[in-house]
Amino acid sequence: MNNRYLIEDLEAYLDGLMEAEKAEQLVEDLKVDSALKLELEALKLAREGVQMAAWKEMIRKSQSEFLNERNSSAIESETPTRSISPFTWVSRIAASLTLLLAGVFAVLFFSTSPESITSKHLDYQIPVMRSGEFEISSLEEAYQKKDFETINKLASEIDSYDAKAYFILSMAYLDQSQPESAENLLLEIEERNNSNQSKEFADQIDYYLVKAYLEQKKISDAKTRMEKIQNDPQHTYFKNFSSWDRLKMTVLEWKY
Amino acid sequence: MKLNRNLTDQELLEQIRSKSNPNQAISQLYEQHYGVLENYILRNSGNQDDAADLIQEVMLVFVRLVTQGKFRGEASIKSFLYSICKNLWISELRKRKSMSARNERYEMEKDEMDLDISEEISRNENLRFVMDLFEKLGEKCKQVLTLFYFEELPMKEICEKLEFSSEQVLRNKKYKCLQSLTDQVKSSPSLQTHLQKALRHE
Repeated sequence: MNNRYLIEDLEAYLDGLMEAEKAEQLVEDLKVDSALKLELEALKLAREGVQMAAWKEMIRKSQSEFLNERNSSAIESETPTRSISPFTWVSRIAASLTLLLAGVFAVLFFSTSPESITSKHLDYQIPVMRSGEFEISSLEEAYQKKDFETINKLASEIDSYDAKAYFILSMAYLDQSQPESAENLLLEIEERNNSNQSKEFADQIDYYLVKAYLEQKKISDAKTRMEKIQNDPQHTYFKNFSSWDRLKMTVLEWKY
Repeated sequence: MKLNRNLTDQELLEQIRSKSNPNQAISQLYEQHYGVLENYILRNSGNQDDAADLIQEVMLVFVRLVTQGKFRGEASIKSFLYSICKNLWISELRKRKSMSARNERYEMEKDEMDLDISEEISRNENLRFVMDLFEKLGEKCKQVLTLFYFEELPMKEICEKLEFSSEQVLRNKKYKCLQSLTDQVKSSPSLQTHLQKALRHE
């Protein structure tokens, strides 16, 4: 411990605040006084140590924060099964179902056409009587052969109402893509049936009118006729339409 | 700890030098360089705890070199930190007497490349003893000295902050604390070599 200089003096010297004359004297003393020199060196180290201690604390805190944050991020990325509330699950399922339904609806909407229903329609077949009890007419024979030229010729010769002839003609019209003519004939038969309280070709009329209407894009009429068939388990064509067809018909109603 | 914008090397150095928002600068150093430094230690016989301890030292040496104007951005901060890290780790391995041939190769590289840093590392070790002595001072002493020498607050402000009755009382306290620390430094066996060396060279 030197006795000539206080720590305040040595600080003033280090900070360049000591009077010039006194500073010069101190420099001279330092040359010969090892205790003073030791004191000054220790003071320099002490002052630097104070500053570095503060930096060290700041660095320690920053490192701790950094490592905590990094560990949290690592844990988060390693834990995919976070606790999710039931509401979130329900919302997610609902959203997925909505998306799925939207997708299905879009596919249905764009892929459904009248043909998607009529393509499954059965062509009318002339019943074959094993007993040969009944003679097959020229019209029926021509229809069996799909000889539409003969059919048209025979049609022009029909001068009175005949349910069977009318019906075969309507089928021929359907085959020749003339749904409007087919519709007219089928409705004529139906009207006659109503008047006569008969049921000739009643089930066939319903079935083939669906096709005639669809081909003319008269969706609402086709739907009504199809529902009539579906609502009657005794109907000949009851099993020929499914719920899927009904859904397609609804889609067609939106579409056209 | 996320920063809005990364500071450039020069901005970062300036923030450390001027102590304006030093926390931001230190945080950015960690964000940008911890991974590389840690990786170096892990690749060279160290584990994560070694890396955590050593990187704190790296940062401390870096800050000291910046505050003393010994690093002004002549090289990139990244390569400078890497160089400090390498030297500190070699020094640590040497202490552990578990140097492999691989590390000896690094040792040679160190001798060629980083003599300046090696000197600083040695001084840093002395400072570590001083910092330990500082930590043993009373709480009030630590506060006074930190606010004066690190925060560089005026006496009046420190006086108000620490509720001293007058600036004179504070001044006396400060010198008393500093004298106590200086006396401990002088009498510390760990610091004798450094002080004797300083006496011989100055």
